[in-house]
Amino acid sequence: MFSPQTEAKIDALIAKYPYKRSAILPIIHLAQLEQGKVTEEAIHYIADRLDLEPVEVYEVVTFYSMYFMEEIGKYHLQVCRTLSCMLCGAEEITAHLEKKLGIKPGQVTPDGRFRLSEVECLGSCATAPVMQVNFDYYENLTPEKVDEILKNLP
Amino acid sequence: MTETVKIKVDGRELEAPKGKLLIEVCLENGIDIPNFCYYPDLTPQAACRMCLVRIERMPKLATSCTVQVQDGMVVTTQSEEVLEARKGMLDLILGNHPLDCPICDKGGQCELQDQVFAHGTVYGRYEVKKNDTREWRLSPFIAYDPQRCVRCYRCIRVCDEVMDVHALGRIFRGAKEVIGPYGIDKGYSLDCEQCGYCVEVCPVGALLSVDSRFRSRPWDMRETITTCQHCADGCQMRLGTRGSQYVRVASKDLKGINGEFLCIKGRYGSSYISSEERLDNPYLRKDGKLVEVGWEEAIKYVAARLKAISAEDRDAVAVLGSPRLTNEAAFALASFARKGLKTSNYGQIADVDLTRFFANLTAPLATHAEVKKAETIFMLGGDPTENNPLSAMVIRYAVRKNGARLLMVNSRRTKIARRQAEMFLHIRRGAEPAVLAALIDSDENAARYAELAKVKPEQLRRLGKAISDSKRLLVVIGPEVNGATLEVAARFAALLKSDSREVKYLILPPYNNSVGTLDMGLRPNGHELKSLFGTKIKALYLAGSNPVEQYGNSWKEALSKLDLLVVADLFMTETAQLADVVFPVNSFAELDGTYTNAVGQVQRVNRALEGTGRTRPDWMIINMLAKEMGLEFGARGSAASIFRDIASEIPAYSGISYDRLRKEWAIQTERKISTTAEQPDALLSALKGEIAKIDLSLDLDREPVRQGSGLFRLGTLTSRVAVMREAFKAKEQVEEATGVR
Repeated sequence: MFSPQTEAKIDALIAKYPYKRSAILPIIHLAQLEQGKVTEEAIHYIADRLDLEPVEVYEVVTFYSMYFMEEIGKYHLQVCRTLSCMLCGAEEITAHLEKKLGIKPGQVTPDGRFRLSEVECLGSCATAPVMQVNFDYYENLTPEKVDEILKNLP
Repeated sequence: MTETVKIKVDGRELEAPKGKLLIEVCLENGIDIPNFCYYPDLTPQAACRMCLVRIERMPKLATSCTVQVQDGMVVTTQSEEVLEARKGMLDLILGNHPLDCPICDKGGQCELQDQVFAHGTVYGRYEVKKNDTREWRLSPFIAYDPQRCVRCYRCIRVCDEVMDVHALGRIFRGAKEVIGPYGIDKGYSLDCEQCGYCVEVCPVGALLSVDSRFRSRPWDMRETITTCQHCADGCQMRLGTRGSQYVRVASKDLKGINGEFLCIKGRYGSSYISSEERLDNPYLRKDGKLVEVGWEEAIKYVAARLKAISAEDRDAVAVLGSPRLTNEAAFALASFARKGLKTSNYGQIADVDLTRFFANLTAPLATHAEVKKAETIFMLGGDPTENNPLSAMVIRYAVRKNGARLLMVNSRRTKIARRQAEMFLHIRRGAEPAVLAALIDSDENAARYAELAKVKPEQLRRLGKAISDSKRLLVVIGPEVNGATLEVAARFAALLKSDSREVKYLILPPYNNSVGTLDMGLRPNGHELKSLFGTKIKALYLAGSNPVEQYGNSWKEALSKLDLLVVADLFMTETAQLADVVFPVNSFAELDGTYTNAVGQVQRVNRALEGTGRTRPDWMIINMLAKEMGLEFGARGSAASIFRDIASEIPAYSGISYDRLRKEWAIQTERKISTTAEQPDALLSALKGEIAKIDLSLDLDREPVRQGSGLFRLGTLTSRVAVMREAFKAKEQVEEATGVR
């Protein structure tokens, strides 16, 4: 189903827990990372590997906001909107991104390059406002800085 | 013995087994604790928070559905604090509830209504807009309205734990959470056994049965407790009727052998009683065509023809019943044949000759309640999940709740084999006698039996050891065990039972009254009698059977050789179409009577509908015929009086009466248990012929048994149930078109 590297990681995760099903969260992450979203095939495959029913994997996928069953997009812009960031201008950053990309939070640009999300605390209050792009943090943001960041993304 | 503890609830001293859930102790002692998510035998959930109580020395209110009683526990269930908490919880639950009680099927039987009435407030404190979601049609049988849902998860747990189907989940999150199958938002429907148990346990009107949707308010219908007519488990059910029409089947709060459990056929397979196809008048063949006539003409015609044929040779008239008849009908039929017509050719059409089992029984039959407590279960064949769902449920219960060891021998990979069996011997089709022989014979022959069954000798040895290690053994025998093998299987327990080992049997016959009709004297000789049609036998009275649909052309040809064929049935079946006379009979809903289930329990069939007045119970038609023919066979004028004859004539039924049945629901008949010592050699030589019949060219059947292969199969009755016919036809078409099963 997945690349040999991902399969090896899945094997290791399953071996790590006394109950197979405990490995469900990291395995869904691996599947999403490799395929850009959580596919139905992946759900069935994971259910099979963990001796679960597909609906039991589906419950988990639909529960957590960090799993996506539709294309995430190449760059997932996650703007923190919790207290410190909000006080330091997160709303302005989101508004700027909405205007620049022409999408609302929860949407993807038509070219599939950007997904915009508002997320809860990223744990970096000292450097608010903060945005996470895929797995990288960008701190002390201003609208100008955001423009610069987007321009430099490959 | 479990330790007993003393607790104090609202000042009352109570005694209870240590570790029992507090809510159960309170409810059993008449202390009302409101709850939604608590359900007996399911894992505690503590989701609804309705059962909060104050327990001394606990920092905050505790959910009584998760607390186990301890010695000296002091509990308050009625303080202002507790009552306030209940009000608060109900306010939260009602936060998104649409309060559409006037159009809700559950209105009047709703736990939420009852609890708000008893514990709620008049004014809600939430003023935000309610979630506005639409109803989902989860399957042709089950609908789901998320707005009414209180998220107690009884449905999910009953599906996971009791049914072991795992079809439902919590989809999405928080206020958007819904109960549903995989991909509910992508248009996938509920792919499960469609038992509707989730609908039954739903405390509110969230999960609903499609077939009775908007058909009746609960207080507008009459509910009659009766016995299901589909399989040999004999579940109790509430048949809801309104006027002269079927409305629904439910099982809420039932105290019978099945509790609230029913399968798809029990819950959704009875609407045929109000089918438009029901026969309403007798039919008589005139100029080659069946035409409707009055009873008098039909009876006169049949009486005259039977009399003429019988006058030449009594045995030229045959009488065949069906394993679906009530005991009363079967008894009347057998008496009519034996004492009235004085023919020796009477019985029923059956594939498994259970007489060989009951005549040789060496251990008692286990009730479903006893199966639940089994320690070791040895299953030789059978697929109860598909054919005897209550038996499957209690077997799963024994494994799940009591850790019973399940040893399974089967030629098919059934669901129980895949999911519950500790040991599964996948054998060649028809090799059951070889396995039985291996368990009886000495070890030196193990290799030969192993080859016959296509298993490893080691597997047979392990099976033998597990059986000899057992303290309380339940032997389950499936319908593929037949003939001499069935007889040996019945004698097998004699070799196993001892002072230190109790052995009981569970047999899985195919029909609701296979056991009872046999007890009434209808021997399973239908297929043998068939070969005499047209030669020795000239006339046949056939009650409740449709062999042409079941067995096809061979029966069609045989029946066409008869001079006179009389069929008594509900519908113009494939068999009835060949008849000279067809009598319309009452369905089980229009009858009083009894069925005897697989474990020998007699249970009542109670009349729920009056019927049209133009159909008759089988026994009444027999009486009319006998009277017209001037025959005396001890006819009785009511089901109750026939049952009195049964109780006095058939030893196993002595002491049983309608009165006792009303109070005790199910009474197990006493079977004769042979106490003669059995010799292994005698059993082995009895098996020889059957072992020789094993077809060694057969490979293992590796295809797993598909969900619904027995449950979703349409028969004479279920093909007249609109919702089943449409759902299964559609399913078949999809499967044929896609090749995916």
